[in-house]
This record gives sequence, C-alpha cells and structure tokens, in this order.
Amino acid sequence: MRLFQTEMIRFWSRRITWVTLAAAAIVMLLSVAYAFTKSSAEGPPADAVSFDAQCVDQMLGDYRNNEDVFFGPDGPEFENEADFVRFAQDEMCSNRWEDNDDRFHAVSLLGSETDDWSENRRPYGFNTTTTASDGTKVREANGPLEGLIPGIAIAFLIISVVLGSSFMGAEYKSGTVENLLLWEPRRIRVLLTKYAAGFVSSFLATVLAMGFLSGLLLLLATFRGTFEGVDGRFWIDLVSVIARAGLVGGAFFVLAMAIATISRNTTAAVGAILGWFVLTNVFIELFFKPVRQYELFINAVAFIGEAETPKIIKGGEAPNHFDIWAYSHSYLTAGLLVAIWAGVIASIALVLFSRRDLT
Amino acid sequence: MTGTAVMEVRGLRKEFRGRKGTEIVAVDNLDIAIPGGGVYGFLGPNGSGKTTTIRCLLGLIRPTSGSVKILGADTTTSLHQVIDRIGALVETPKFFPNFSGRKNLRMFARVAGVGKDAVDRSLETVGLADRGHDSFDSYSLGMKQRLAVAGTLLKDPELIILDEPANGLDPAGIVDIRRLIRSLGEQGKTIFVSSHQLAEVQQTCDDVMIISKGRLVRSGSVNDLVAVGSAAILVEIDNAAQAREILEAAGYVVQPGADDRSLSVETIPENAQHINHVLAYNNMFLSGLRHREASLESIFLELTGGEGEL
Repeated sequence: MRLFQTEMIRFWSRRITWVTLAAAAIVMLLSVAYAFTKSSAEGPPADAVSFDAQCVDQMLGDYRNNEDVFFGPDGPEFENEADFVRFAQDEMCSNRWEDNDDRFHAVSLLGSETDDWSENRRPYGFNTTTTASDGTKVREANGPLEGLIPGIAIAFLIISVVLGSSFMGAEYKSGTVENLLLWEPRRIRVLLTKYAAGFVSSFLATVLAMGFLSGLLLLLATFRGTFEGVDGRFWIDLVSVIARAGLVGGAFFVLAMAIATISRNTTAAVGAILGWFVLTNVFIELFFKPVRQYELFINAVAFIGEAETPKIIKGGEAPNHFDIWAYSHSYLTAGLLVAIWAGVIASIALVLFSRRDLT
Repeated sequence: MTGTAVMEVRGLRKEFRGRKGTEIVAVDNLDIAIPGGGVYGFLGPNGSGKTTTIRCLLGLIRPTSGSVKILGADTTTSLHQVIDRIGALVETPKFFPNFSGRKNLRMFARVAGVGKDAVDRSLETVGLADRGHDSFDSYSLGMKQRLAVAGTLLKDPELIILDEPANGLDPAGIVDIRRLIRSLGEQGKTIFVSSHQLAEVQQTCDDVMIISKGRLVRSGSVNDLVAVGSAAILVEIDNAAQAREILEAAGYVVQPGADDRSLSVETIPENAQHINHVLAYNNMFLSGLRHREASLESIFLELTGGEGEL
C-alpha cells in the first residue's frame, strides 16, 4: 500500500501530467469559447416548418413504388406508411439545419441532435439484417454513439499512451527503477503496483478531463443552446461513456507502461504503440480483415462508443462483392478484449522485468 | 566463513553475453565474507567486477552461479526480508530529476515506512538541509552524490553498501564523506565501500578486498597488507647498471629506477646495511639510500598488474 501511495503521488507530482492536463484544459476552453461565439441562445423562428413537405411527398411516392432509394432492398422496414412519413419528416426531409438553429444542443455531446434522446440515441438504419454472399442472413453491427464526447475520448487515449510510456520510460532514463528496487526488491510486486497506480491515476485523469469538457459544453448549452431531447437516459449514457473512456484510458496507460518496460525507453514505447496503430490499420484493413474485429484500437473505440464491433464479410454476388459490417460482438466483449490485450502485454513485461538484469 | 557473517559470497560467478554472443565473465568464483561492524573496502581496477558484484549483492543482477547472502538472507530469493536493514548506493545517484532532493528522499522513505524526520536528519547529516527544496536537476554532481548518501542513511541501516561514494566530490566533500563513513563504522554499522580513491580507502577502511578480473586477489586488514607489501630500498649511484649486476649476483631482485642513476631493490629495510656493504666491497659508493614504504596503491598495482585506471 505504501508503494501504491508513492506511485500515486509520483503520477500526480510529475510535471508532464500537469502540463498535459493544463494543455488539454486550455484547448477545451478555447474550443468552447469559439463555439460560444458561433452559437446563439435563440432557437429557430416559431413559424419555421420543421420539414420540407414536398420532399416528404416525393419520398412517400418512392416508398409506395417500392423504390427505397436510400436503403436498398435490405433497408429498414416500416410497419406502416405513417411510420415512414414520420421518419421522412424527422430525418430525410428535416428542415432543422435550414432553419438556422445555431443553438448548441446538449445532446450533441453524445450524438445527433434530436428531440428525444432515448428514442433516437442510435444512428438510424444500422441495426438491420442483410444477406451475405453465401445467402445467410446477418445482422449489421450497431454503430457507436457519435457525439463529441466519444469522439474526443480518442485524444485522451493518445494522451494516456504518452503519459504511460513516459511514466515508466522516465524511470529507466533516470535510473530510479533501480533505486526503487533497493527499497522494495520484489520486482513483480513493484511492477504490479505501478500498473495499479498507473491505471487508477489514468482513469481519474481521463474522467476529470472529460468531465471538465462535458461541464463546459453543458454550460454552453445552458447559456447558448438547448437541452432539448435530454432525458434520464442521456445522463446515464454520458456518465457511462466517460467512465468507459476512463477504463480504456487506464488500460492504455498500463499497456504503454508495459511496452516502455520492455523497451526501457519512452520514445520507443510511444513509437511502438503508434506504429502498432498504423500497422494494424493499414495491414489488417488490407490483408487480414477476418481478424479485424479482435484488433485493440477498434475494440477500444467500440467499447467507449457503446458500439457493436463489426466483422467484415462479403455481401452481394460474385463478382460484385461488397463489404458488410456484420455484428461480431457486443461493446462489453470489446471492453474485455481491450483488457485482454493490455493484460497479455503487461504480463510479458512483468516476466521480463522480474528476470532481467539491471546493469 | 561463519554463519553469522553480515555478508557472505560463495563461488559467485556472473557471465554476460557480448554483442557477438561471446561470453564475458565479469565475476569469477568470488568468495567474500564480512563478519560485520567496521568499514570494508572493495578495490579493483575499472572493469574488474566490483559494481557487478555489488549489483549481485543487492539483487539487481542474477548470479550465473554461486550464492550471495546478506544479513543471513539469500539475495536471489529473500532479499526483501532484510532490505529494510540495508542502505545502498550503486554507481551514480539515481533520483527523479524534476523533484526536489527532499521530495525524492520522501518518496523512497515512504516505500520503507520511514518518517519525515529521518529525511530531515539525513539531509542534515550530508549538509544538504538548506538545499533540500531545490530540484535534483539543479544539483552539482557532488550534491547529487551527497543526496544519494543521505538516501542510504534513511533506514538507519545495519549494513551500508556504497559504490564509489566520493565520486564527484570536492576535497572538502571527500573529507566529509570519509568522516561520515568512519563515524558510521564506529557506531557498529557495517560499511562496504568500493572506491577508486586508494588513499581514501587506506584512511577509512579497516579491511580491504582487492579484486582483479573478477577474482579476489587479496583481502585482509589494511595494516597487514601494507606491512607485507612490496617494500623496497631505493639506491642512488653513479653507475646504476653495474651496481644492478652486482646486487643481482648477491641475490637481490632489482628493478631499474626512475633514471639511470637509481635502482629499486625489493627487500626489507633491514637489508640496507648489507646492500651498502656489497656495493662498497666492489668499490662502488652510494650517493643515496632510502627506504620506500609500501602503500595500498603500490600493493594494488602489484596485485592487479597495474591493469586499467584506478
């Protein structure tokens, strides 16, 4: 416990921690200030028509003629015409943007603007079934929450990687890891404690930073926007996204620490992780699509955004195949896969750390 | 060796793999036994295996073979049981560069459950109390060294292992560290100190161990080593070459001197009269005759073959 406290103190005493958090806070403040100048407290005119009636008529005509130009033959099915009309009014023929609604919508923290978050929290149209090239029916993967907060979480993952690499890399650079072993020679205990302190600290830092940004944006919505569509589910989703981002931030911090333990160098660790990111995104997409759904970063993003991780399978008949993003696993499984990735790398580092000579 | 030794090393061997897969033996079948209490010097040229040995003692390096026990605990398996009784400084001081000296010490003190008072006392002892709040980065090499020594004192340990503690210190700092080491030794603590400063070791240590090429070549008390060391008589004479032949014919081991008018005769001081007599008998008359005392340095150079730098 004393070692854990020491590592926690070290994390929060490091200059790089505060410089990074301060820089992030400044960027957030500037961004929100800019958004403040570009937003308006006033909503659209009271007489504004929220949809284009001519467009709706056109869509309805197409629908009746079975010409679903937007979704193809496997697109979403509507129970009746009224359902389709509502959909056309709300989505395809909406005048929301044309009405110069410059208000900042609180719901945009998590997704598209809507007047009912619980109802419309998913981008419409992904949760459908489709036919693979072998004739089997497959369900398409549900997309992630697409708002500002899930998107910005990616930046915090990168920050976690840099801080985690530096947390361990700096120990090797200054030699303090050796000094520490003169006070606590049980190496496995030392590194596990560092992992634990790093995970908790990174979780807290990510949650604090994202909480700070959310607070700023909600203030913006209070003074220059609207809480239209916000309901209890929205708050649950917001807290969940931030918490999940914190967990992934912690996992990435541990992963980066582990790679820095293996490489004994901050730069090498950051380079290795960014290289990993680039390689997986290039090579897996090009050559190894069947394993794409197990990739670390894809699952990290899916877990934070509560998306179903997709696997890519072939649709359509030869030679006109096209990719279908079919359901592979849930966001909870995605989180588990992130934990497994971090755990495996951390274990390798643990074995090396416990056996390696410190010369 | 006894079971109560503070430090007991038996058959220690450490091999490293070189870049091309070659085997480098850093320590070879080393035996050390330190009964405890007092100051023990650990001498050897650069690359002789001193630091590797110290790292093995402290569990930082896994020995290839042999056993290492400190305070009765095998350092490869149960060092943690005695680590609170050991203070150590290995090579250069290693601290967090952006933290102050005091904060650095408090970080490590917290790991061992040592309180703030001990930190203040240690800083006071090494003369850094006034600079404790400055960042480690801003310290001179000597100050960093003092801080590292302060770190070894935090736990009020029974055994203190110091690897080159006088590195980077100015003459006054060296004297301070010497006094500190002596006073710790007099308090009954065991100090194991490796050093290049042979004169310092001679003044500070009770016993010394000299290693060369990873092997122990001599150990014992400083006084005993100096007493049996390679004492010599320096002869000054006009025809040194002829004098050398005469003395060698008389059975002496003679080395050339610093110039062509001097010789070094390796013998005990009591033979000075006999040397004078032999040369005078051969009509050769001395212009000078003096005894050269053995120093730890001369013994060290003799035992290590003068390899490497000190």
